[in-house]
Amino acid sequence: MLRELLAILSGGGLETPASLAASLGTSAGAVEAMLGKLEELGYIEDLSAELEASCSDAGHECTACKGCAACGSGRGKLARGGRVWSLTAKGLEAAGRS
Amino acid sequence: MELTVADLKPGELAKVRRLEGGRSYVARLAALGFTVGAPIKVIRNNGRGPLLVGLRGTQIALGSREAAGILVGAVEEEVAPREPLATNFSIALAGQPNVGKSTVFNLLTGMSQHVGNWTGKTVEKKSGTYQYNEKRYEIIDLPGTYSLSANSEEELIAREFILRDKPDLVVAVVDAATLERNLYLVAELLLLPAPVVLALNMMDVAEREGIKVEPEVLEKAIGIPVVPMSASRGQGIEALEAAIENLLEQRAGYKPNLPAILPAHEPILEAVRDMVAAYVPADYPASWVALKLLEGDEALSSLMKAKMPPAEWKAVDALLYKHEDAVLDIAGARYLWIGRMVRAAVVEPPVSRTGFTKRVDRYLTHPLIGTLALILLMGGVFWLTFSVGSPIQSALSALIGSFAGTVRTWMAGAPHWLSELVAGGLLGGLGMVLTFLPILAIFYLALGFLEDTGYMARAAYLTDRFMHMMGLHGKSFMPIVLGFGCNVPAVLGTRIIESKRARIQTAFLVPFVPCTARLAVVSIIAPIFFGPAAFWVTWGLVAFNLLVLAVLGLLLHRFAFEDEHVAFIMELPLYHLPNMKTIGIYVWQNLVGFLRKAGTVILIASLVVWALSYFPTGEISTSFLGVFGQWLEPVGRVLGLPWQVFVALLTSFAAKENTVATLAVLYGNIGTALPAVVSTAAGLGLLTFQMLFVPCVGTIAALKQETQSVKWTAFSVLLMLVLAFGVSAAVYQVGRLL
Repeated sequence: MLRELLAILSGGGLETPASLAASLGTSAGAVEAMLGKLEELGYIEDLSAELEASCSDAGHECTACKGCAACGSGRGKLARGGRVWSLTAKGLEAAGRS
Repeated sequence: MELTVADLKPGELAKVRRLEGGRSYVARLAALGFTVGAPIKVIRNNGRGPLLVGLRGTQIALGSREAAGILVGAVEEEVAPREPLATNFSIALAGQPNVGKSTVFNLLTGMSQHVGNWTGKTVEKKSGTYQYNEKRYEIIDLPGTYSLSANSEEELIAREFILRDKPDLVVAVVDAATLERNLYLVAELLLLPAPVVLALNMMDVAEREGIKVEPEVLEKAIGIPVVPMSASRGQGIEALEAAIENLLEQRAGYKPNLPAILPAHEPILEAVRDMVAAYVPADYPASWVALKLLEGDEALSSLMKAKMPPAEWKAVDALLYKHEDAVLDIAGARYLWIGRMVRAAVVEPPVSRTGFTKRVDRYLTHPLIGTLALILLMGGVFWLTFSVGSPIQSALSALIGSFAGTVRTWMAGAPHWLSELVAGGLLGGLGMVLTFLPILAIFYLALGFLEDTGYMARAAYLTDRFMHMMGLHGKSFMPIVLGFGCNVPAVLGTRIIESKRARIQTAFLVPFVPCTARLAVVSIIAPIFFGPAAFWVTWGLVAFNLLVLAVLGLLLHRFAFEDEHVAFIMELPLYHLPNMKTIGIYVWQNLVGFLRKAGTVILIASLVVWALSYFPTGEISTSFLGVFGQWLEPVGRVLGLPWQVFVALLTSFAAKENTVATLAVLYGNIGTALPAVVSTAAGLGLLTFQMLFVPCVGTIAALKQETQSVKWTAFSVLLMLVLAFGVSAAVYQVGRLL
């Protein structure tokens, strides 16, 4: 099941747990659990922290930055606490081997 | 009349019949061990002060309020106090964090707990005892873990305890509302030698969310005892105690249905097991060690490497290396197993927030319907901003204008330059910019509303197709989306892209994304020229910017950069009713950010522009700025703009809002002054120029920092300058002909 998930991800594009669940014939909750596992194994990486760091790094450059729709604070984030992941080189390699 | 503990005399025995006093209060009592049916004995009750009661082998002091909330019934016969029993069984309590494991532990052990550390570790170890049917059980609360893969100290402690200390039984506590996330640990626990009882906790939460979990079905599917519980309400603890006893006394069936591995991996697993079996430590099952080695477990790899002769380990290592992705199949098979269990035992609610979100997203993330909805919603934001905000701004602007006149009268005796500085520079520039606060407040209010319902993440999701059109994939997506907020973090955000070429391509395109500051300026100027049609014009400008972005992206993709096909996964939040406080904070933060900018960059720019337009003669036409502006006049003429407007556009280099401040310094009330000197066609050109012009200085600094290239930074600035001039000149010239 994790291989199928990696294969979908290696095709490029933007996916959500719901769209992945539809492709795999499972639930979004199960996909989220699998994404957590793939992240733990190093096949995908969570980029949320790095993106948030871009916002805080930019804080001194742009006075409006802290409140903008993209960064915001608390619940005012773009995906409101939602995470974003991307395939790592290891994930790409594994998908290629599958 | 019902009795409470407070009514009992010292030495009297009773059983808990009911708890009263509100949910959290009941939960607190339950956590102390006061569950329905639990026998208690009053040790001290002198009518005043705390009572002392014996419960589950320990003594607990109760305040009079607590005692009044515990309703009791009589027991048929007094049970003679017994000597403490020797420990008969040891039970390990396992579970993920936040599944109510501590509550279950507290319910089982009451006050008989011991807290220390795991040997040689800083992780807290809790143990305690309880008695049930004249047997004494020792409970060891294992650290909260998501799996047993030795990825953390906690996971290592948990599995080492089960393997080395050999508890008689493991209680796996899971959250019934999120079984899919919880059963992975159970799938791993079932592979260890100790029998497992599943404590299906948080049934109340699952019920509240409309999720129906059938414990009997789950019990049959997994093949182990399953006990439904709501530990926070003190429910299910006796059933758990009974299930533990039944399994230990072998009165309950125990045939766990284990997750299988792929048939293709069975021979490999067997080969690894045969190779390592002779060296596996006595406490570890050889087949489990082989499986974990195939999963790439580093702790066990180190252990076996140390135990085995180097040549033999080398052979194992080579085999493992050859099958390094086997973990995907092993873990994948566990998820298939979890899927089967959940499908069997869980009935999703027909109506829930998850279901509602799914149904709405079918339309709002649809390529066609979703895009149309996005266009309409954004159009609605602009419409609301203009139709409500613009009349307020006009009124405030007139007020500031008349106040500036009054100030000039008050300061008639002061030097002319001073009265002009205050009335023209401060009130004209900064004051006029501040009149736009209502427009911004409504703009951010509408955006905040969409954001807080969870919609904005869908808007970002929809733009992905657009990114594909211009050859941008995967990691380029997020920085571009961030650019709609502010270009500075968007350029900095390109650092998530590994490929240097893709990073430069994305950073280069970010300034073409209209940031909120650009949109704010446009939302101020557009109504001056286009009145009620301003929101269509604004939409057109945003669409045009995105078109330019797409064309440039395509060109760069075709001639300069390669493709990077990496998928991007984004969690979309559930839709929910917006919270006015959250929206209020969002609007407030934005307005404070704007005011901070107004008090610094815009104030300084206003004063500098005023000084340059006043000195040395006191006349704008012969001032420093006037001389410079007249030099620029031929350029402005191509755009149909007086030099004052062209200069105002140039000042946006420091901050986009400076365009408005400079116009206000040079013209006073721009709402009435601008249409008199700028035609509608030139006004459209002005707006186009503002949208395509070089980004603010902060974005350029970020561009240089992230691309590490003066060449690319300079090229970006030059291209935007040329595009802004060329396109707005074309807009004006074509518009003039119509």
